[in-house]
Amino acid sequence: MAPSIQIKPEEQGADLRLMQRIAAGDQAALATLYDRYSSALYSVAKRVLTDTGAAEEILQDVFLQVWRNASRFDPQRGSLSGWLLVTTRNRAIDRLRRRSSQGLDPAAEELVMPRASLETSAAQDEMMARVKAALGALAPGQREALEMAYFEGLTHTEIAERSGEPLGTVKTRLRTALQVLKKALNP
Amino acid sequence: MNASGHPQLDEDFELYALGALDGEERQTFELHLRQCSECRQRLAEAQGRVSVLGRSTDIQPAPPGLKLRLMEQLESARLAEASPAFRVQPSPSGRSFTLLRWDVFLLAGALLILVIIGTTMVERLRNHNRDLESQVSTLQASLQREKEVANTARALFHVWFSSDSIKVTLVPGSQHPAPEGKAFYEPMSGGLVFYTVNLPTLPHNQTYQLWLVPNLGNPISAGIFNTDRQGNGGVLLPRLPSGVKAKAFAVTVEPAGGKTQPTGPKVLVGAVS
Repeated sequence: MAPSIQIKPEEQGADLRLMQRIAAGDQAALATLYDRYSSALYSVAKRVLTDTGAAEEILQDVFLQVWRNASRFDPQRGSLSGWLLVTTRNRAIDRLRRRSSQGLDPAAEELVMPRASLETSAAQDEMMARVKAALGALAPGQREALEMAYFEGLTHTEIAERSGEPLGTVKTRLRTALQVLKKALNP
Repeated sequence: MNASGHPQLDEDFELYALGALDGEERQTFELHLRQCSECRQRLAEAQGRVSVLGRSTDIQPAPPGLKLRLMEQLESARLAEASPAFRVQPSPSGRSFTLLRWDVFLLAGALLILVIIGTTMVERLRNHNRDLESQVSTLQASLQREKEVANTARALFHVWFSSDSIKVTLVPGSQHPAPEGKAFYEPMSGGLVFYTVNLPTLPHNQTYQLWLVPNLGNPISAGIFNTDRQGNGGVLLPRLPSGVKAKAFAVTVEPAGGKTQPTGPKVLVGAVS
């Protein structure tokens, strides 16, 4: 079984130093950041798009955005790894659905940096194990609804159309799945 | 949402982070989000939770060439941004006339710099283009020469080795044509072409074998051959070690398949003069 994505929290301090160097125009720093996160981000883009070329383009776009906006990175507002993951996923969904902007409107994306509640690498490993177990224990309909939302960017209505289930059922399934996920993150 | 307009449950934020909310629900959420820092904070936390789904994906390494392409793209972007002419900022509204004129002056200066840089770059590109054209021209001429050589060789081979070719040995007067061989040998590469005429056809259990006799050491086999009804045969580019100086070439009659050293009678011998 392939290993799951690991973004180690102890690297967050190093991320800040790298972003400061990138903001100063240091290409080697971006190369280091790329080495650190490219596989994790590529995996998400590839899972969403199922196309190697398209996933590569998304990854390039994301790192170019980092290069251009590194000076605006504020670690107080959230983790870089979380932001990279969210941005990559959202761009991949945009590409998949051929739309110009996704979920979060651009203004909100500027303001919101996802927070990570991970304190140690061991804690992260433990948490990911819980998450996987929780996702594995979801009823098939709940898991499918969650995956359609996250990896395909479908809305409630679209999931209902795709699955042939009533809209209310889909909403309930998604909420239940998200509650399970939250419990796994905060036992 | 509650009476104050705040979404109540964590799932509301997670559903928005997922992009699962439909039309009006989503617009209402976004409208509120723009005005509410507390909810932006809650959304950030929800995004962190939702992003765990991405982290649960099986990892796949990024393609190896991608990093190089990214770094090349960065370098191009850096060069494009290196000129101050590219950094002209739009004028905010409400500035005084003096500032506007100053902006125009700056813009004109920037454009002038852009023109100078552009002219220099165009000239460099032209020079580079001329160099490339010259190289292409040289390569094309070289390719043309190679093609001519290859065409000549192909025609020569066709005439020489075609079974349809008529091979005639001319001799003085009424003298009967005698067996004869010609070897063309280039020691540095070990290239050898040998042909013979008027050698009688051998029975099936025998073969002719060509030998290179070096200045030092034993003869080296240069291949076996048989002749047609007119006595024509030969060896073309056998595998020989390079750099061997030859003092003679010889043809012997050997058992079918040939031998590692000559055992049969010599029918042709030629010393290197």
